[in-house]
This record gives sequence, C-alpha cells and structure tokens, in this order.
Amino acid sequence: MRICPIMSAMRRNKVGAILVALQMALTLAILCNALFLIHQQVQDSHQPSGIGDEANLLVVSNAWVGDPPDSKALQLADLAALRRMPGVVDAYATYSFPLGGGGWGCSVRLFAAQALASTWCSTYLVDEHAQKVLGVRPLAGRWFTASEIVDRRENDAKPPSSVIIVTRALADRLFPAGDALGKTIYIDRAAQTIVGVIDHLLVPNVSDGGEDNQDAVLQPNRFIGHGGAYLIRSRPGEIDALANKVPDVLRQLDHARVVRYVRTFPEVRARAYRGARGFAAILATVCAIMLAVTAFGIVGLTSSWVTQRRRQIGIRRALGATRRAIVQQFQIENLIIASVGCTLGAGLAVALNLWMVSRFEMQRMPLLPVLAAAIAVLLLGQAAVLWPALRAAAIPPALATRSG
Amino acid sequence: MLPYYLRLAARSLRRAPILTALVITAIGLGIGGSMTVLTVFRAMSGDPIPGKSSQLFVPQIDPWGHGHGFGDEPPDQLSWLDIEQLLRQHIARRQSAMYGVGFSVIPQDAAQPPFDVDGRAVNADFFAMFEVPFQYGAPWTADDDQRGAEVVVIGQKLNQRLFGGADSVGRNIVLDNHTYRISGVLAHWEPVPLFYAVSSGGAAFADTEDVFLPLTRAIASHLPWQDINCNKSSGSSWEAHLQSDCVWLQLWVELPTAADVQHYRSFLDHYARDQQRSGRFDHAPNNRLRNVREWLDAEHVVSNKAWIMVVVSFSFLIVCLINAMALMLAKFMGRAGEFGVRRALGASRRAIFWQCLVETVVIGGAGSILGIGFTVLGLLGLRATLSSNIERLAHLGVADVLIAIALSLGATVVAGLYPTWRAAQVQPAWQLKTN
Repeated sequence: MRICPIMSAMRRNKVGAILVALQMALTLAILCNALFLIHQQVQDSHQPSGIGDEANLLVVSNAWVGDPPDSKALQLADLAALRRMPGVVDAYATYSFPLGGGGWGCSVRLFAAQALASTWCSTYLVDEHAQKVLGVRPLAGRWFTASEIVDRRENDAKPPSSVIIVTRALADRLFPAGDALGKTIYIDRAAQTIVGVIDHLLVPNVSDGGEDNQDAVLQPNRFIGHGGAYLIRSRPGEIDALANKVPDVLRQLDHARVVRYVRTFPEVRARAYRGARGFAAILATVCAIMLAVTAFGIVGLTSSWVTQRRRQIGIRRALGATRRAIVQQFQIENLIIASVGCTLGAGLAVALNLWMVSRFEMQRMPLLPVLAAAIAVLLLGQAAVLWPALRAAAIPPALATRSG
Repeated sequence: MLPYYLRLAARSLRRAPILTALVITAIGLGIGGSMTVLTVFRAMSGDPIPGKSSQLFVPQIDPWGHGHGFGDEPPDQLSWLDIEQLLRQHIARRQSAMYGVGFSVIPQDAAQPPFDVDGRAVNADFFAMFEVPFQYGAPWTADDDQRGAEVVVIGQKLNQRLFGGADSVGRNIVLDNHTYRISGVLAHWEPVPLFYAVSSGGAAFADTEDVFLPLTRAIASHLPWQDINCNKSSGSSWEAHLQSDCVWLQLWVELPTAADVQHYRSFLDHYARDQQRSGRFDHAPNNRLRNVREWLDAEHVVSNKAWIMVVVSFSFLIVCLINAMALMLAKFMGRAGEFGVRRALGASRRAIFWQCLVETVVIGGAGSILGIGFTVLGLLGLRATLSSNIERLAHLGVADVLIAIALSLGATVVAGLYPTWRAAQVQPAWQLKTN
C-alpha cells in the first residue's frame, strides 16, 4: 500500500482533514478526563461502609415533640418494643450513622497539651447491642461491655466515657507502626483509651475522594436528646414487613413524636451517593453523545470526500487497484488523521487535567485513561470510515472512461 | 434577494438531506448539552436578591485564631458573645442575627400526627432587610424582639397545610408544646440560592423555612442549634453554651452606601482589637465583611462539579461545532460546480457569500430549535438523576431560550464563516472546465 495517493488526496482537503483531527483531539481530551472522573465517582460510591449485610439494616429517624425530660425512659421503652418485634435481631439508638448526614465532628490529639489537632474524626455513639446491629467485628481488641455504656446528652461537649473503638484507617494514621490498641489519645481534649480497632466504618458525610471518609471514633454512649435514629438489624427477608410495622409500633407507645423516615440501608446509601452517581451518569451521557457526533461526522465527511473523488477512484480502479486497496486508502487516511488527532488530544487531555487540578481540586490523572480513550477514538474512526470506504470500493472502474 | 437566497437554501438543504441532518443534529446536540448545563449553572450562580445584593453584608469575626480547621479564614458563623455585642451597637441601617431551628408542629386535629418543619430564629429587621413579601399580616415588632414574644411568621406552605390557605393572622400555632401567635404569613418567597442559610455547608437550594420566630424567644426557650463549631469544650448548660466561643449564629447587615461599608469595616476592626486588648482573643483581628455575591463565592455555593460540567459541556459544544464546520465545508465544496455556474452567469463573490451565509443562518435556526428540544430533554434527565433540590434549578426560562437561540445562531455563523468564504472563492472558469 503506497502512502502517496493518500497524502496527495489529503493535501487537497487540508482544512477538512485538520478539522477532523481537531475534533478527534478534543473528543479524546474530554473523553479521558470524563472517564477518570466517572471512575472516581463510582469508586467513591462503592467504598465499604463497614456495615455487615447492609440489605438487612433498617434506619428509623425519630424525634420527640419538644425535649421531654423523660426521653431516656421513652427511648428504652422504644428499644425494648423494637427488640421484641418478630423479625428483629437487635436494635440500638444513636445520633448519627454511616452515610446518614449530620453527625458530630471531633478533634484528635496525641498529647493533652497539643495546641493544634493532629486530625479530625467523626463520633459515633454506640452501645453493647450495636456490634450485632452493625455487623462489625473488631480486628483487634474488643467491643464495649454493657457496664461501660453511659448517658450522653446533646449539649455534652466532652465525652463522658474513657474508652473508644477506632477504625483501622484512623488507627494507622495515628500509629503507623500498627500498635494503636491500648494507646490513649485525646478526643475533643478528653483522654480516651483505644480498646478495639474495626476494619471500616464510613463517616456520616463522605466527601469526594476524601481520605478521611473512614475516620470514625466509636464511644460507648447512650444518646439522650430530642431527635435521633434507631438502627435495627432484621432477619433476612423480613425487612420490608418490618419497615411497614415499625412506625405504628412506635406511635402506639407514645404519640408525641415524629417518625421522620424509615429507610433500609441500601436506600440510605443510594441517597448519600445520588449526587455522585448522577454526576457520573451525566458525564457518561455527554461522552456517549459526543462519540456519536464524532463518528457520524466522520461518516458524513468521508462520504462527501468519496463523492468528490469518484473519478480519481475510478481511474485508480481502472489502473488495477483492487477494492481492498480502495478501502485501505480510506482506512489509512483516517488512521493518519486520527493519529495526529490523538497525539494532539493526549497533550490537550493532560493540560485540561492539570488545569482542573489547580482550579477544581481534582486529582492528577494517570496515563491509563488517556491510552484507553486514544484507542477508543482510533477504533471509532476506523469503524466510522468503513461504510463510506466500502461505498468507494464499489465505484466501477468503467467510471474513468466516462467523461464527467 | 433574501427570499431568493432562502429558496436556494431550502433547495440545497433538501438536495443533501443526510449531510444537512447531520449538521443540524450536531449543532442541536451541542446547544442542547451546553444549554442544559448553563441553565442549571445560571440558576445556581444567580442573584438571589437582585437590586439589593450589593447592600447586604455578612460580618465574620475570628474568635479562635489561626489553625482551627478553617485555615486563614475566620469561621463562617459567629458566637453568641460576639452577636450580642454587634447587635447592641446597631451600626448598620438594618441588622438581623439568625440561626436555624427545627420544630414539631402539633396539628389542632389531635388525630393527625405531629410533623417536622424547619424554622429560623431572626430579628424583626430580617423581613424588611430581605424584602420578604407577606400574603397576610406583617412581621412582629421591634418591641416583640425586645420582649422575646411568643410570636411567629409562617410560610405559605405551612399556612396551606394547617389553615387551608386562609388568613391565619392572630391565630395560634403549637410548636414543640409551646403556643405561638401568628403575626404574618409569607407570600411565595424562594430565593435561589437560599443565600442567608448556606453557612457550614447548609443546603443552598433548599426550601425557605416554614417558621420564623424572634431570636430572643428562641434563646429564652433554649431552642437547640442545628449546626455548631467549637474550638474547645464548653460546659453542658445553656448558659455555658451562650458564654462559649462556639460559633452557631449568622449575622446579616444592610449597608446602603460605600461609606456605611467602610464605617462598618472599621467598627469590626475596633471590636476585634478591643477583644484582643481585653484578652479574649489572642490574635490580631481577622475579619471579613462580604456582600451577597462575595459570600456565595466564599461558601462555594456553585460546586466544583457544576464548574466541571460547564467546562465539559462547552468543550462538547466546540466538538459539535468543529464537526458542523467540517460538514458544511464538505457541503459547500460539493457544490463548487453550482457556484461556478452562478459566478459565470454574473453573480458576484459577495452574492455567493451572502447565499451561503443565509444557508448557514437557516441551519443555525434549525439547530437552535432542535437544541431547545434537547435542552428540555436534558433538564428532564437531570431531574431524574439528581437530587430533588435540582428541581428549582432545572427550569428553562425565557432568558435561557433567548440565550440558546443567540448561541446557536452565533456559533453556527462562526463555524460557517470559513466554508462560506471558501465557497465565495470558487473560480468560475476552472469549475466550468473540469465539469
């Protein structure tokens, strides 16, 4: 296959070829940045929550009317009733839970006199039932015992207890040697001894690609306050029936309350990541449409080039060029244009990424998505050019003998 | 000549229907994609209180000093200690401190279960300062503010739910076991973004609160805050909470003139310096005084994701336009023979140029119609994929439609300029010879 006829054909269509190359370059630049963003969003939304068997965890958000002085007794009565319900494995009351939004932030210090915090964390209040409800198992150490659980009210800034369980992420950050168990650290300036380490537990408010999304601290506290949540572990297959019954059971116990919502944990997860998944879906849609536009553009443009060059193609056929040679002529032509476009596009892609890193706190893109997108754009060009190329190959050699 | 060119354009578009359809679809998709994003973006970054946004300011004071999680920025809320002082001085024309609260509403019909509403504790100036429209009644008085009266202003939706939309001024409402008298009912008022409630990551595109009550009443009733930041632990009592450096309130002030702004700035500076002198602050003053737009920028109301979508969608538009340009070039060049004949018959270059330009504008017009269709589809898609808050953002206004038409025509003409110019360069003799 000789390059000469291709080059001379392209030279006569310089601007057209440049436009296609530009379009492919820009398509590549957007495509790989979008792929990278989509990958990050999807990866974020699949982070392990730390909760075992999420499908059988029910969350009930409850608020008392006003701030009744006997809210502790009311809560204990609620919990007793919930635990008695058929289909319930266990239940506990808390203020916040993974992916639930809101929650309490906390500061972490390694020494009492430290001025600035070492890092920040999210507090979860749990009791001796919570381990079963959440379905977590300590990697090291133990869970809290019933005797360690103390009351905590909304206004209590300092934790009233002195033992904590932390996630592995936080333990490793504070003690890279892996000897966190038994150490005393300062949470909100109160001395707390680490008695257990769990694998994962997502914080209530996750951030995009946030490295602190697993920095949770569990405290053996019974939350006493105006509003809160009951987390209920259901037996497999009974969660839907349970979700329907729970509000009535609670209202029968005490009418002066608002059951804000009853959600399964998968629903909680879907709500928490709705924005991230929606963003990824929108980007994917834009990319799909962009690829279609580029592909149809190449089809249309190559078709019109075929029409313009009917005579030349007829002459080449008459001079002995095979159909395959004609097809290859258009394929190679597109490959040359696409290669130029991809080279330009790769540079553009990296530049776009670097600009977004500096402007929008995005992460640096590795080269893999650029490579993947470049291959996709090259293949797209080849696929798009095939149909017009086959039409060109069908031009009869006899055309050359006719005058135009 | 225009009707003739239009006739020619229609004929030529019909003669190459596939190429024409590709060009128009490419432009339509580009306009649809970019306008979908631009419509939402314009709503997100819009002025929530036009005409007054440059006169409303948020004072910020740093009670903690450097290194407490906000970097060099002071916290975006204030402590009660500072709020009390700033309110007492009353330097601004109007001022309102505020914080978000939650209530359970007890319906009069005891068979109905209680339900939750969002509320906001504010000063009486809030309503005049933000030009809040009333359907019935009026704000409470400055005297009510002083006394901490049990009086509320409720929103249109709550009034509909509790009183069927009737004039409920003077009637009572039970919130969290306390009875309040209704002094006013708001008319429809939904600032987008909800500029006064965005601090500490508050929902910028949430609904307006259903209940407003005097700040003094909320403090006296110990109504709990919804969002608080502390640099050190305080005691558990309400008094200790009020005396702490925890930040949980916002302040808005109305400063009509540049001199007022300057005056307020130096007032804040003096205040912080006094606090430093008295030993409460251990650092130099670090204050901010931002108007609505600066405040919304500082609070990152338009998220990075929204910005990235704008970049992506406009890059997509450029891809579509390059595509359209290449196709139009092919289209016009395919008709070099026709132009050659017209030139040979005496048509000037200018005439060919205008003929192609009219054709380009026709393509742009068709693209804009298709583009608006795609925008409507895109906005429906956004509503389906994103959270419910997007609903108030994903609205195609008249301005958006006009922008779409202008963008489509402008972009198509720019893209068509080179092909048009090339068409006008066709040499009559050469074309006649080769054909």
